[in-house]
Amino acid sequence: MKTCVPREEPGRDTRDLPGGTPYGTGDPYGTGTGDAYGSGGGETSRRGDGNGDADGRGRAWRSPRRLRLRPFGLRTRLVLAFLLVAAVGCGTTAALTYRAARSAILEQTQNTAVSAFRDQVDVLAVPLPPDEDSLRDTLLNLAGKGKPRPWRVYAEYGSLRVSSTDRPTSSVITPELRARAHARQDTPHTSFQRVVKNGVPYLTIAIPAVFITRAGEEAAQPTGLVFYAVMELREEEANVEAMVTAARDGALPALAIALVPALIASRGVLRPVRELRRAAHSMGRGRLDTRIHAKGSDELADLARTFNESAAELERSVTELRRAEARARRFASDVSHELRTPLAGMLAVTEVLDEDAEGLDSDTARAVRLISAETVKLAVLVEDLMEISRFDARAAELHTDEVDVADCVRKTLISRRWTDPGQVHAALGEGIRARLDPRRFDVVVANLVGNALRHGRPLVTVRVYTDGSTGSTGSTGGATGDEGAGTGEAGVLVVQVSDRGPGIHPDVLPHVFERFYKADPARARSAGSGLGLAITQENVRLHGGTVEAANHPAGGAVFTVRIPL
Amino acid sequence: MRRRAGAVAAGLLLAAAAATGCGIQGSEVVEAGVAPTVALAQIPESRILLYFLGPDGELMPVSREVPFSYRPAPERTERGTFDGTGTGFEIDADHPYASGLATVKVLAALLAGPRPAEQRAGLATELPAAGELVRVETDGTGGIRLQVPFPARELSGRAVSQLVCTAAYAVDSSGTRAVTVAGPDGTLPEATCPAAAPPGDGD
Repeated sequence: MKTCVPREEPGRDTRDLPGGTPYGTGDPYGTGTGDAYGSGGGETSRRGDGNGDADGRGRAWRSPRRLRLRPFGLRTRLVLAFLLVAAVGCGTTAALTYRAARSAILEQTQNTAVSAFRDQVDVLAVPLPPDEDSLRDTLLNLAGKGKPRPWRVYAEYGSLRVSSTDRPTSSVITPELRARAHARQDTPHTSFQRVVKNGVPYLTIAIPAVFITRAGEEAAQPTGLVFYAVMELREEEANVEAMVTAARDGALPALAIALVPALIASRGVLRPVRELRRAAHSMGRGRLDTRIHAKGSDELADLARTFNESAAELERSVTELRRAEARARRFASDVSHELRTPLAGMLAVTEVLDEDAEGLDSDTARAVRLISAETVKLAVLVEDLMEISRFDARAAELHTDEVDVADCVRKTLISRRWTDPGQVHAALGEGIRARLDPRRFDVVVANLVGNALRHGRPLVTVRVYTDGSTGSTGSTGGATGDEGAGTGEAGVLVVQVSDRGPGIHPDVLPHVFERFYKADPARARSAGSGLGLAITQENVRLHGGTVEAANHPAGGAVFTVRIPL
Repeated sequence: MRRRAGAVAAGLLLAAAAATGCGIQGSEVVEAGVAPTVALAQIPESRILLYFLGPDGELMPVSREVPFSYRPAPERTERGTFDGTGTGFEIDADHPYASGLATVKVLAALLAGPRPAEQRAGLATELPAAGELVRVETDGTGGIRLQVPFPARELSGRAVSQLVCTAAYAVDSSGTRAVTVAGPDGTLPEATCPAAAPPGDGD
């Protein structure tokens, strides 16, 4: 039962509006629903500029944050992929070229050296066993004729070791090469081997000398004399190193150049993506007419077209929904409006009947009183419905005034005749001044106290104080700290209404502010309209505040209203 | 998907790098053409070939120059013209300009062992020294039969090869004749010189 506010006020807001379009001005959805309602659904192609500006500001403020370089963003990945492809291409080309060039260099050197050495051995005449001194002379002669570069020459026969150097044999010559030179199967072959020793590459050539046993025939027989040549490949290595350097010096600029198309390509891909994101963001903020300029025939353009189609469909659906919603609201508003006039007449009549009830027989008198009571309830319900529809239509206006809060609360209590100290206890911080709409604040306090009296049990306590720390939820703090009234302007005004009843069931707690919510489904009828707390909440919201319902640990429900000062 | 592709690419790069390497790497032994020939003596006909053993026991040819043109000639079984000096010193009617230095002399030089210079080069023999000559006969089919003055069955395989090769090349410069070695204690199976066998098995 709502017995709170001076009821002479509520009609005002609605009356001020042009009859048929109570939603025209405060339309929260821009012109969309307004048009839909007012002019029968004109094309909602263009948005209100005010809305657009707001969006623009929001984006401008957000954009720099969004455009920061993400470590694994699309751009990074695209550029990396490009560079990887370029690197693979450069690397493979360089590696293959290098390989081919290196083997060409080495082959040329090897072929030259081997054929030169063979030609030089081919013209030798040596006795068997060779004479050590003359063989050394021969080798020294050979050593100077190395091609393409000087070499060291060694000869081995039995246990004889002769060389063109100080040392009789070379440690570079591997056992495998020696074994191959001495191998008796097949015809003896010239063989060579590249050896890397102490980081220096060498070419080693082994030539087993053969002799012809019968003139004019190919019946060659190994003499047991083997010639070795050892040549350093430093110059070849330097050439090869130079190629590596050249490949690297070529590949790095190639990679750097590849960065340019990579960036351009990533730009080309990212621009539509960015546009799409911007559009989706804008859609998310309610601008359903957002469209993307889709050009070309690639996948991104397809995506953009799909986005546009979806957006158009969504816009159509939402417009439809809004229209339906507006119709429903208007219907509720119209119904309550239409009910008001006959109700006013009925109220006048039932008042007269009430007075005359004394003279009627008891059954008729009870019926008359019942009709009278129900008519009053109906009137309250209709008023509440109208109030709620005004909130829904955002037509409720705040007429603030600088008031003394304690005075206001006291006035409310007195006007409702809640003055029995056994019923209602008021602990009001004195001297708190706030800018409030006195009528709406009165509704808030009255609804909360009325609710507590109706559903809870006395003693109902009303506390008014200011809270410096806005985040505090100390609703159980009691009245001790209340007296510090006027401690500062930058706090919140707290109005707390608590009772000593059984409290609110935890299942119900989240729903207490819903419209027509019945705590007990079995109780189809309650004393109130079922809209009281919903109206309270809307009024507090209008003040920019919050209202919470909770249970006191010691029992009883606690409703806390916080309104910023 | 992307990760796998990346891994494949990285693997390819690594493989390429590994296959390429840097600088010059060592290699296997690579054969490059046939071996060159050397001349053993100014005049090929004025040398004889003896087979001694190298430090590792392998058969090694030694050429000795003789101060006259020598041309190996096959022995003949039928004793034709005798010059009175005995077996092995017959004058060959088919090769009247041949020196007459017979295979038996070559074999005698073999039995005498390596000279000091040859010994310094690591050459050795496994044949026993003998005061007597080796008798050389040819059969009708081109085979050579050597009658050695020491027990043939006690000879090592390498020693037999020395005898076979020296005799084969002394008789015929192709060195492919089959040789039978016979001693007082018996006859060894027929053999050919392993060094001459064209693509034969090694020593």
